Amino acid sequence: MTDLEYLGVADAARLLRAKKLSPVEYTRALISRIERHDAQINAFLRFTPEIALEDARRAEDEITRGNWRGPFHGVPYGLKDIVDYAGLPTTAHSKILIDNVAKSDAFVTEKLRAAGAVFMGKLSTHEFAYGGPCFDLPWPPARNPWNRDHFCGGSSSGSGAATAAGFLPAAIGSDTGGSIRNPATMCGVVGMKATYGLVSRRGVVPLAFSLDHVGPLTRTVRDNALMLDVIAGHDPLDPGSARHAGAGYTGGLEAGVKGLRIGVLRHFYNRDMMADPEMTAGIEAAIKVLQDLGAVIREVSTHPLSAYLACNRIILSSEAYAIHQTWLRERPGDYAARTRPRLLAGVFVKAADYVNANRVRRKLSHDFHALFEDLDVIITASAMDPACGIDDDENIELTYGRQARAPFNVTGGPALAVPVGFSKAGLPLGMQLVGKPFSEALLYRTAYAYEQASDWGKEHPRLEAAAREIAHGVES
Amino acid sequence: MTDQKVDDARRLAAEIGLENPAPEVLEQLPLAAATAAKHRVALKAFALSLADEPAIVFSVEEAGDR
Repeated sequence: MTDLEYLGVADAARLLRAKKLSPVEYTRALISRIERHDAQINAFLRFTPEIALEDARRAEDEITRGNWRGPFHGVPYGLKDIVDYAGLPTTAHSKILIDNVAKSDAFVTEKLRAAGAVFMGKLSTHEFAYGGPCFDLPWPPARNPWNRDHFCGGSSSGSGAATAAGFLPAAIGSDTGGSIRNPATMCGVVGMKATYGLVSRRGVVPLAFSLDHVGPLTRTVRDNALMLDVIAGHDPLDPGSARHAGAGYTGGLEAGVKGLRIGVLRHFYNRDMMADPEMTAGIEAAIKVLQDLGAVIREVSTHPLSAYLACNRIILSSEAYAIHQTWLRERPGDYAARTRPRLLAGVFVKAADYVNANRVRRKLSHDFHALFEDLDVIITASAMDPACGIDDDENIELTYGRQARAPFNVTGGPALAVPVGFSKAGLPLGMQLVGKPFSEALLYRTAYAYEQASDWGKEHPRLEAAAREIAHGVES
Repeated sequence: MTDQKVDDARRLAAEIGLENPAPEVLEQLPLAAATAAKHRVALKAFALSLADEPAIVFSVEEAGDR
C-alpha cells in the first residue's frame, strides 16, 4: 500500500487511465492511511470516506467504459474548510459557522467535481483562515507530519499536513497573507498562490476581499500545475475574477531554465529580516542549482519588506473587520482567544489608513512589476524560520510575521512555494518563486527544473514510527 | 485585568465607538490596538504624493463588472 500512499496525481492519472489502477483501490488505500494516522495529525476536520468511495466507484465505472475525463479523474483531493461543498457544513474551523451548511459547491469544487476527482473531506484551517493554531475551538489544530510537536503553518494547515502525510496527493487552500505558501514551506510541499483573480473565490469564506486567493497544494510541481489547470478560469460570479482562461500549465514544464533571467531578492531575508541560517543556506543552495542548470542569476532590490507587510496588514485588518464586526459584538466568546485580537485590530485602523494603504499598494505593485522588464522570475524566502513548536505560543506569534509571502498578496502576482531541503532537526525548508501577473507557467517551469535536479520530493514523514512512539508513551 | 487596565480598555472602547464590549473583547483591545498601531506606523514611513491614487478606484465602466 505504501506506493499508493505517496502516488502523485500525474503518476496516478497514467495508471488510472491505463486501467492498471482502480480508483476504488487507490481511494481505499488513502482512507486506510487517514484512519491509521490522522488522529496524530488532525489534518481532517470532516473526513468523508463514504462520499470518497461513491466518487471512486463512479470514476471507476466511467473509466472502465472508456470515458476518462482527465488527470484528476479518480484522484482523491481535500478542501480547506472555508470552501463550500454542497450539503456539508463550511465551518471555517469556527464555532461561529458550525451549522453553516453549504447550499451549493464553490467554483473550485464544481471544477474538481467536473474533472471526476474523489472528494475525501474538509481540512483543518486556522479559524477563519486567520487565527493561528488554537486549542480552544471545537476541533484541534493540524500538526506537522514531519514532527507532530511542531506547527504545520497555516492557515491552510490541514491542506499542507494532509498532502505531506500521504493522505492526499492534492488539496485546495487559500492565501490572503501567505496561507497556502506557509503550510507548503512548513510541511515540505508545493503551494501556488496564483495571480489574483485567476482562480475564482466564489463559495469560499472571505477573509479580505482584495487579497484573497484560492490555490493548490501538492507534493510535486507537475501535480500542482495539473490542479491549477483544473481550477483556473474566469467566473462571472466572482467580481474579482480575471478575464483569463488559464490552463496549459504543464505544457512548458520540461523546457529547463537555461538562459532564464532570475533575480534574487535577498534583502527581504538578509537585511529587512534576518532569516534563520539554515533557511538561508537552503535558499542559496537552490539558487546555485538553478545557476548550474544555466539560469542567469543577479541580485535585485525593491522597497523594504516592512512596507509590503504593513500594507497587507492594514488592508487585511480593515476588510476582515468589516466582515466580522457583527459577530465580534454579538458572539465574541465564540472566537478562539488567538483569533479575536487579530480581528479586533481592524477596529483601530482608520478609514484614511485603509485608503493610504491602497495608495501604497498601487505604488508597490507598479514598482515590483517593473522589475520584470528584464527578469523572468524572482526568488526570495517564503518563511524566515523552520516550523516552531505548536505549543510554543511566544514563537508562534513571533514567527507568524517573519515571512516574505504577504508582499505578493499586495502585488497580486503569482508566487510559488517550493521545498529546498531540511533543517538539521528534520524540518522542511523552502523558497519562493515569484513572477509577473499570469506567469504561472514560467514559475512551474523553474520549479520543475529545480525539483528534477534535487531529491527532496522523495523523502516522506515517518508517521508509522511516530505512531509507535506515541503508543509506547501511552503504554508507559 | 487590574481595575486600572479595565478602565483603560473601557476608555479605548469608548474612543473607537465600541458599545458595551464583552469582557473577552475588552481584555484584548490593548493588544489589538498595539498591533494596528505597529502597522500604521510602518505604513506612514512610505511617502505618498497627491498623484498617488489608491489601488481600488471607482470606475463607471467597470462598476459591478470588473
